[in-house]
Amino acid sequence: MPLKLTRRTFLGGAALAGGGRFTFPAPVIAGSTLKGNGTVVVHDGGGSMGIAQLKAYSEPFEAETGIKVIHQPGVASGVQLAAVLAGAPKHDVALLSGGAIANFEKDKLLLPIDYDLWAGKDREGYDVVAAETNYAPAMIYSMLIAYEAERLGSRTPSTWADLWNSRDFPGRRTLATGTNAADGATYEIALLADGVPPERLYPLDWKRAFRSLDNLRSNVVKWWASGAESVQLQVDRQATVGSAWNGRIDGANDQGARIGKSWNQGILQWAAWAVPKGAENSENAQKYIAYMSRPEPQARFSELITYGPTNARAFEHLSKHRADLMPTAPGLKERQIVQDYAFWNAVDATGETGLRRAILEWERWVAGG
Amino acid sequence: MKRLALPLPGVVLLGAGYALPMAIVVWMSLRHQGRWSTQAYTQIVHTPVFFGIFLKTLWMAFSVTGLCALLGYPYAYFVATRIRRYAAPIMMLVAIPYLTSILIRSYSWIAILGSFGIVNRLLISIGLASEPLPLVFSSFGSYVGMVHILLPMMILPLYGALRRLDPALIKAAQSLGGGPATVFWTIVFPLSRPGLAAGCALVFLCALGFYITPAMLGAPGDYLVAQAIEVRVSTLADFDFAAALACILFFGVSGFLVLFRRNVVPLGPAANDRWQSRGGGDGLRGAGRYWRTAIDQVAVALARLCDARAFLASPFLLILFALVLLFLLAPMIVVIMIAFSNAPYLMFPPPGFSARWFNSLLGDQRWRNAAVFSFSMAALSATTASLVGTAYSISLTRGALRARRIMWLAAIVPMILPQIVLGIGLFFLAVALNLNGTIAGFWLGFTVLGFPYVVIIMTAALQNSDIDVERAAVGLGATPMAAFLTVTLPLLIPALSSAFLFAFLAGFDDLVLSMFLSSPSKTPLAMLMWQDIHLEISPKTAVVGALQLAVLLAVSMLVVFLRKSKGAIE
Repeated sequence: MPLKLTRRTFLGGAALAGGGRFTFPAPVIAGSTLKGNGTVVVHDGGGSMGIAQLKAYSEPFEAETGIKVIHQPGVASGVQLAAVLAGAPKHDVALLSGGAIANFEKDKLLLPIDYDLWAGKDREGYDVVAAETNYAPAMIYSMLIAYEAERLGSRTPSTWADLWNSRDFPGRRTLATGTNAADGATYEIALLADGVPPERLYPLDWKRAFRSLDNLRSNVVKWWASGAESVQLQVDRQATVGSAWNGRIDGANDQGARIGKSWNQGILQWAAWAVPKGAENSENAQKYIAYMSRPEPQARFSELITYGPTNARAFEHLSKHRADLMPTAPGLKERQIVQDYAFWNAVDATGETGLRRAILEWERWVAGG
Repeated sequence: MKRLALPLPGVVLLGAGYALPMAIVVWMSLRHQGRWSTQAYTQIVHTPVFFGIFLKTLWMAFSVTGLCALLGYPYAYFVATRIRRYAAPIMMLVAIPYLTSILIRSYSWIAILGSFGIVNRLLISIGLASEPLPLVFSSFGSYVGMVHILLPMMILPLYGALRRLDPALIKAAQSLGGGPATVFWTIVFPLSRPGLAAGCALVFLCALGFYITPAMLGAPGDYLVAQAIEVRVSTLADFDFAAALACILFFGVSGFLVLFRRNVVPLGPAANDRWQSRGGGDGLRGAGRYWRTAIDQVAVALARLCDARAFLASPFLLILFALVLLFLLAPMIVVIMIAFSNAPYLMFPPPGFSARWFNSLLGDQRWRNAAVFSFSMAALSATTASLVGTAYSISLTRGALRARRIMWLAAIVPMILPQIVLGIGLFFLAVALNLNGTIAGFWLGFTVLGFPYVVIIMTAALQNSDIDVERAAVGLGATPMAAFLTVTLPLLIPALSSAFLFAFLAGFDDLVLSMFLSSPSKTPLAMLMWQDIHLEISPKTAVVGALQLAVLLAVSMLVVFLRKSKGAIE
């Protein structure tokens, strides 16, 4: 792409010439540099998340900058990777779960984020998960203990070990299938239930995790494979206690379901925006991501769906009631465990990454036992 | 020259649509981190669990084929011989399992078979069970789900074969003293064998690539090869490993089929020799021959014994027919109820009824555009597949080509390949040819998906079609082409319409290929449904199913009306 002499590149060049890091002083200037033309293709999470994206990000962005935003259904990370390898990524702005990013970075398939378009204070606001070179954290969510509030009455589960306790908490169970690897958080849950303290959770002890799952196995009605299933099984009363993402639980309750949740020992996970290599509208993609880093749009998004904002400054714009529902709200953050994606992508003694190891071990467990 | 012209478009399609993507898949399996390596294969061989997974996959495919044959044969027989007058609309109903997305269909089965589902509640209320039976999320659930979706593929070719049966042959056998069971075993069954073989081939090969149904309805232990492949593509991006697994499955099964093609491929001796070799042209020699004759004689003896009780057959067939029909239609009934649900999320039974989800779907611009796109692409591809596939089938059944069995296998073994692997191969090919995100890419992909169905159904139909009628027309002065168009083709219309229907639905329902080939302006309906259902299962997907049913019913009523008004002789 030929170098275009825009105001940004001129100032950027001046910064380099000046020999220092130049951050734009105020959001006012940052806002005006986002104007442009053309289109940008964005990952659409579907359902209520897609609507939240539209209202909180895409429509205001279009109004402010004149760039048309096209929502395109999301694809699995492997499919996106194949598309990027072929030179035709499915989105200009892709959403990648925290565990999937390493695969892309390994083969240098992500374009660096243009932080010059951001306000410096915003980048610093990413306190729970830092905004790194190749990706900008998009949302933070938690895997929580979910239960059928009506069936259980007053005594409700408050630790993962309670899932294993069918005497005090009768009913069938559901956890994410092990082939969801990191995203399902099943292995962390199994270890925490077995008594492993959070500080000693990683590196995951696979043998211990599967021994723990062995004890639960007969009581599991189904290992859920998608966010929808995790909640639908409880709505249909197939499972009484299980794991589910906080956004899914709140979404179902908004529609009339009555699923209880506990923040204790919740597993904090996150996903990030990234610009894949070969994206057609990479400039507009950078602008869109810069827009989403601002506190007001993030607050709007979190008002519509209970995913936690990644920019801590967004909390200044959230209503108190809503802020208390966020996974990263003070008081809730401390009770949870942040998932360690570095572990999941690191190569272990057997030569496999955590992701591959989990799937191989699960296949062995499911076929053998 | 003319002999080669007919199969040529089919060969080109197979080459571009399967051989090239398959070559890409093989290439992918041998590349690890940018270098040539057989690492993926050695790792698979050294991991014992994969052997078990392969065996389980083969076993499930076999059992599902057996079950489909057991349930499908009586059904097809009943419809083809006892209720010929209403056969056409009933056979259209058989396609109903395909009208709903796999996700909503699975949900319907859970609503029917779950612990609080219809069946369990019924069993408990009449006292047959004291607590809910694990009918779903167990192996039983896998089988129910797989048989439900594969049964039509067994019934349609069987029906096509049984329909073409000349009643005069049966009367002749009866007048020679054969009882009903003997006539069935010695006359009807052998003549229906091409249809049965075609059905078994379709079902078996499709079953090898299944994973969504067992994953949604089955026990966690029902972990099949296609699922292992899917996980490695979607979650791990371990393309070489996935490709290696797919290659082992594909080449293993097709190698086996090629070796035993004489017994497996339902193409008899070349058409010209049909009269002479009808007796012994089944390719068995020596020991095989001996056992075959022995089994035959035992079977005939058994049939003679059954002749006395043959009167039991009619009510038995009727009951079985009704049960199978109910089985095929049951999830659709649930889907329609859900489509009219007034609840904001998916639940069964619905608390009340309203048209809110219809309005939601039809009012959404994106869904309307996607529906139009899917419909037109599927129709275009199905037409191409039907044309190319019929020409290909004609050359296979009439062309007396020596390679015809290999050609038949070449047309259908691509069904073994899990779609996600084919998807990757086609995707890379499409990108290389600059067809990514274009109509041409979808057209090629969907045509290639529908082609095997057309070939299987049309070869079975052409086998049974009486070539002498064509010869008579030629003898009366028609050119071979005119004879074909005016005599044979009209008789083939039932088979052609089911072939078209399958090819259409293969494209319309496709999710995997669409995921790879889509672009913002070319997004099929299946992708929107998947995206919607991923986070929260909404009744919108049920609405799509209900609308498709409405279209199918309208078309079948139209067909019945047209036939009545033309006074067509059945």
